[in-house]
Amino acid sequence: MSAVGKLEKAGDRVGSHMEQVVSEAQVQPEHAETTTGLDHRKLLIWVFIASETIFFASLMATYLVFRGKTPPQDGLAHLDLNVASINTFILLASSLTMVLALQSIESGKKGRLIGLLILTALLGALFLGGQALEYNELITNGVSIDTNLFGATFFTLTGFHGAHVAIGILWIIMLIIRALRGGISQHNHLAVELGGLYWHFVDLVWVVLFTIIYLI
Amino acid sequence: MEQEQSFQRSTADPHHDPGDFVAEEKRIQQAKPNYVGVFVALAILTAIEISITLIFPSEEGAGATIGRVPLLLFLTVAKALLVILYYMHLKFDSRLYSYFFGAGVLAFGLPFVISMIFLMSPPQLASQRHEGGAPGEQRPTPNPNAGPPVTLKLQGFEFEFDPGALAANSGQVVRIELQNTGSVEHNFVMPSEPVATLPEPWVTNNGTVIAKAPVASVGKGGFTAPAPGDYAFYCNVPGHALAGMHGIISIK
Repeated sequence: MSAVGKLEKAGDRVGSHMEQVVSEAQVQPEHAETTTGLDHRKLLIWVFIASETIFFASLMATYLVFRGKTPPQDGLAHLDLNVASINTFILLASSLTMVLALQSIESGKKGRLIGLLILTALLGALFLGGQALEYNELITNGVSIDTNLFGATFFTLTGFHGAHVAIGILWIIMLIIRALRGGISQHNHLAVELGGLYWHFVDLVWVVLFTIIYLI
Repeated sequence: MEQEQSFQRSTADPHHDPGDFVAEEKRIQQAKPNYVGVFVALAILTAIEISITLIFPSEEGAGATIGRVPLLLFLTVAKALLVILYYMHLKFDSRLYSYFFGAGVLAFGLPFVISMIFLMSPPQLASQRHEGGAPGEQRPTPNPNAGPPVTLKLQGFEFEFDPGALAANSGQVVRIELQNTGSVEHNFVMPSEPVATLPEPWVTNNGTVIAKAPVASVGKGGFTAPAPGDYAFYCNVPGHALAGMHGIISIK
């Protein structure tokens, strides 16, 4: 690049900075320039979560409509409440570590953020391990997704939830990488908050699933 | 000074968030939610739920504990609210987020799921529609030799009818008494076409639910025997007919 080109670019940068200074001085500096006054990325996540609620509500309704139409020995009896209970505590704990991670970065503790994110991802992986145990138990007893109504509804419902957990783990790994590369700071941590909202939602779905599948 | 800080932030990182998170951050920091306390509350509620299930394990029938399911659902809603209000901090956030989330669920989700539940139970609705006879439906030809009404008793269980062969005269009023001796719900569906044209009516869920028998009960219903021929009656609980739960009623 020629010296003139460099100079031009530097000039542009200064110019845009100046514009920004002026506009920020006129408008409220701490506020997003949106008609709602909210950050639209966060709003989008909430709308997405609302749509996910409808998605999981449909799958749960399907499970409940066909509940009791398969003899217990062909399905429900092979579920282990102990495994599911431990899994529930694991996922609840992962929600705690996630929210503590957000709290850490809000007070600028980046090392703590990364540690807690790693812990959250590990707890998520542990949950998937428990689910794998459960699936294995069902399949060795001849219950799979195409065996009967229980299998079809159970595997669809918990399978989609497990997929959400897996995506959540990937999301958290991306957050860890971003934090390590310096993309997340005390005043720039919306990414952690959005990932957290998704992760808590996945936990929330499990809270309801646990009741309707294992407890009722 | 304030503006200068903001300026530095916005230029240091092009993806910087100009959103209201600073104000929100202050709100949350001021509120100082006790996240560990919320976790402890969630864990205790879960432990209570599990204990209820272990102490009152009865599913259905005579031994069922009244109020067990509502109590479990109440505890679940309480847990869900804790997660939403504290972990997803809707309690401290702008109300607009709650409105977007709540409106999405209430305005679209709830009606959608409720209508889905009705759509997934078509047999009952179909039987209600058939009660008065569908328009254009062929009435069985009156048969002077049909005889008085007849009651056919049979048992249903996984996955069979006993007896699997029934008989009646065309035009005769047939009453079905289906005794469920199995461990799940069963029913008796009379197809609209004989075996000659419709060998497997359960594939298209063809026909009318005549009698529905929940576990350990007798389902009763009736119909007027259609035109002569063999009809493949079956149970339309998904999967049952495929597993062999069907039989033949010969109409003479």
